This record gives sequence, C-alpha cells and structure tokens, in this order.
Amino acid sequence: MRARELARPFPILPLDAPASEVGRLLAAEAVGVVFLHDPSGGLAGAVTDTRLLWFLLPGYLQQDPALAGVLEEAAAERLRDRLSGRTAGELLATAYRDVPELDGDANLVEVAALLVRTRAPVAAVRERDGRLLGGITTSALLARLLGDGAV
Amino acid sequence: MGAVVAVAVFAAAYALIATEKLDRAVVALGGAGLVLAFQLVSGAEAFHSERLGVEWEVIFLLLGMMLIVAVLQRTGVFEYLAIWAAKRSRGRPFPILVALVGLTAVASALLDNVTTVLLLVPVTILVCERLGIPPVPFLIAEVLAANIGGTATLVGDPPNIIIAAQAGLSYTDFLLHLAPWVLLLMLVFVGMARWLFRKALVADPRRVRELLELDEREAITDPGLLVRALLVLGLVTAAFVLHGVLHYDASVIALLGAGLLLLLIRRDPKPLLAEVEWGTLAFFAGLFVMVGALINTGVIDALARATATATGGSPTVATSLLLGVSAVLSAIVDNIPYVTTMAPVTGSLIDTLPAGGDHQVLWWALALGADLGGNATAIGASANVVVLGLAARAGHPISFWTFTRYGLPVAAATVALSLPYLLIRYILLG
Repeated sequence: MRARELARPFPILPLDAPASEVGRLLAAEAVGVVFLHDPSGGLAGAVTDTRLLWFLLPGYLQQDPALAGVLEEAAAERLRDRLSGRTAGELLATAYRDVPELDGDANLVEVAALLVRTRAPVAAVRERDGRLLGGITTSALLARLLGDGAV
Repeated sequence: MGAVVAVAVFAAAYALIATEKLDRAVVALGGAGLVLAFQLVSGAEAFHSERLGVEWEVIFLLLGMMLIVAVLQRTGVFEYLAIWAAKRSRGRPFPILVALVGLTAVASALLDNVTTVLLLVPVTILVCERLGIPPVPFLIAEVLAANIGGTATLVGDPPNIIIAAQAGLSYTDFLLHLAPWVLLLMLVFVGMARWLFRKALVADPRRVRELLELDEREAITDPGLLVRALLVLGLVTAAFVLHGVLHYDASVIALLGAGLLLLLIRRDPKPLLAEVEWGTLAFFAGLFVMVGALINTGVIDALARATATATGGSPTVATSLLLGVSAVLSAIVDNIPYVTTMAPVTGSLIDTLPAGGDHQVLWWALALGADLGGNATAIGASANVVVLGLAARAGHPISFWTFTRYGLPVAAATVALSLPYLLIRYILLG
C-alpha cells in the first residue's frame, strides 16, 4: 500500500478563519486534524484534538497541574470562551507548525519512520505536482498496520 | 604569566556567561578544565584544598536543599496558602498583594528564590484572572520580594551560601545580622509597592465570588506527604538555627534532612533526583576551580590590595564601595560568579584593614549589595529571568523595561537604605 491510498482529506482553513470553526470541526465532526494554510496556500500547521485542548487550558494550569483541582466544576464551561474572538492563526502557538510531508508514492514503513522521527501525530501527503492529497494520522497508520486481525 | 592566563580564562568565561552564548555550566567546567590544564591550580588543590578548591560545603548544601524542595513542590502547600490568603483578603487587591509578597518573602528565605517563584507564579495568575486584574504587577512584586526575602538567611540566596562558606558564618549569624534588616526592608517595599502598582490595585467587587469559589484544600492531594515534608523542613531549619549547639555544618544538616525525607516518603527517588539542578552544581564547581586559579596566581590578593589602597584602609569607604559596586554589578551580571570572585577578595580586604575593628560588616555589605542589586533589572537575578519566562508562556509578557521600571527604584531604595544601616550598626556603634 502507498501513502496516497491511506491518506484521507482533512479540512483545511485559512489562518484568518475563526478559531471556533477549528473547534467545531474537531469537536462536533470529530475530524481529528484540521490543516491551516497561509495566504500563499502553503501548509502553515495542523491542529489536533490534543493541541486544541492545550490551547483551551490556561498557561498557569499547564505550569502547575495541581491547580486544576482547586477550580469549581463551572470552570470547565469557561474554557470554550478562550476561543471566542480568536483566529485559527492564533492556534498556531500550540499547533504543529512543521507538519512533516511525504510523497504519495511513499510506502507505509516510510510513513511510520517519518512519524516516529518527527514525533508528529499526522503527516501531510502530496502528489509529485505539489497537490495536497490529505494526511495520515498515527492512529490511521496503526489501524492499517495492526488491524484486520494482524495482531 | 600564570596570572595573565588565569585572568584571560576567567574574563572569557565571564563574558560567555554574561552573554549567554553557551550554557553557563559548560563555560564554567570548560574554564576549570583550562586552568587545570595550564597547571594554574593542581588537581589535588582543586579537589582537596580548602583555600583553592571546590567549596564542597556549598555544593552539598545546595544538593540537600534541592532535594527537600523537590518534595515540597509536590505537596501543594504553596498553592493552598496563596489561595487561602487571597480568599481571606476578600478579593481586595492590596491585601492580596501584601499576602502574596509576604508568603514569597518567607518561602524564599527558607528555600530558594527560583523555586519560590516557580511555585507562586501560576497560582498568582489564577487569583488575578479570577478577580479580573492584571497579574503582571503582582508577578513583579513577588519576584522583588523573593530577592529581598532570600537575603535574610544563609540558604535564601546562593550568594549567601558562598559568603557563609568563605567567611565561616553560620545560619544564626545571618538571622541576627540580616533577617531583622530584611524584615524592615520588606515593610519599606510593601509601602513602595502600594504606590508603584497603585493603578493595578483596583478590582471589580462583583468578581470576588469567582475567587471565593476556589477550593484551596484540593491543592493538597497527599496530606501524608505534606506532613512529612513540613516536619523535615522544620527539623532542618531548627538544626540550622541550633548550629551553635549541634556544631553540624549547614551542608551536613541539609544532606541529613534530604536523606531522611526520601526515606520517609517512600517514593521512587528518580523523579526527585531528576529535579536536582545538576547544571547549577556543575557551574558552581567549575567557578570554584577558576577562582582557585586566581587565588593561586596572586590575582585575588592584588585585587584586594588595590581595593584596600582605593579605600585608604577606611572600613567606612570599604563598606560603601563594596555595597555599591556589588549592587551595580549584580544588576547587570549573574551575582553567583560575581560573589564567588569577590568573596576571597573581601576576605583578603578584611586582612588589610586596621586590626581591632569588627570587619564582618564587609561580608554583610557584599551580601546586601549582591542580593538586593539583582532586583534592578530583568536579568539581575535568576528568579527574575524565570518569572519573565513563566509570565510570557502564560500570555502575560513582561518586557525588560517594564520590569526595570519597577525593579530599579526598589533596588536603589533598598540598597541606599542598607548603607546607613551598615555604617551605623557596625562602624558607628560597633
């Protein structure tokens, strides 16, 4: 199997799109990954569920997780407010900025090697002409490698 | 020739440390390697000589305290106290500021400045966000208080540890000579903070309910760990104070305390050992070897003689000069290498002063200048750099000049007030 066969299209938004749209795609539509592109059309980054959570969590809670316990239940409701008025570009602070890319002809071991080396949760797949085919996530790759009774 | 090489190596290392071109531990160990290679100090002297070698007392005291702090960090006690104090202040910004800087000053006197601010910055931002007030003034006030509070004790600030080892001063000496004065300086600082941060000390009373909803008890997830950690910290502090009775060195007490605590908590020690700042310990070891080369080649004695000539043998001039120069230099360069170099100079300078006087005042001038001077700029002390980093990551950046606008007047006032204290108490009345 080649990378182009495993790649699936993920939503791709411009940097000036509302951050709440990224949140809606990840939360309501469970797309797993949203790509962001810069004004020239280049890939600027990828936002995953985990990275969006990272953005939603105030910095002081990341620095001192013990503080999460002192908050009341209603504090969770306020996390969504952190997206209001923000653009997708502002999510780049926590997004994967250097999304690893590979050619559609790459085999699955090459995909695995790239994801391990870069520690990225997703790799973008392009055709030789530069056209973006989509992405391969670690979970999609594992499902292909280990699924269907392989283990 | 040896002196020229020793000075060249030291100056190059100092420049690299100041410009942060390389990791400071790498620079110090590299410099130590060079002076050993040039045989400006021998291996035996570097490792075993009390006069020329590594101050193992300092290294092991820091190691022991770092291990105790690594456990204390996991107890949640600082988060508990900060939220409790803020709630008791009923959301009024100035009482909250006083409570937080008081907590910071006490904690940094008992532990170290960097750990104290690491523990208090996140909870401070939480409290301020709940009240809808800007956290930056509170963060700046806390780090200034940490540097002032740390001046009070032998373990409060690394320069004090170096001075104690070099001068043979005990924890009690610091408590008797610096702690009361630091308490007064804290009162002055709180008054200054009321004025300096007056624009930020306004909160919306309707936001108080959000603060009161925080449950500080949830910060303490393991009460058993907290009890054991506080017990050992109490025992260690008591043993420091009882040095005159027990006759144990501070480093021995800290190591015994760390060992006892690790036994009592029965946890995997690897994560705790990983939190020891090994780089800082290596930095200290390298510095001591480099300064040993300066002593061995006569540079330190020459510097002391030049200083003695400049002061005309007057303890008043020497005290003023040491306090002022230490404050200015500590504002612009790391105060650890500065004090490591100046401690032997101060020792030699004391030997040149007229016999009969109590020249211990020079040690206190060095400590006050180096510790308080660090408040003047954003790079003057390690704690300042740490707070700027934490604040930026939390979305509340503090620029160099914003920090300096508040830090410089506080440093200038505390150092200026310290001069008459030293002159009156030790020279006029001494």
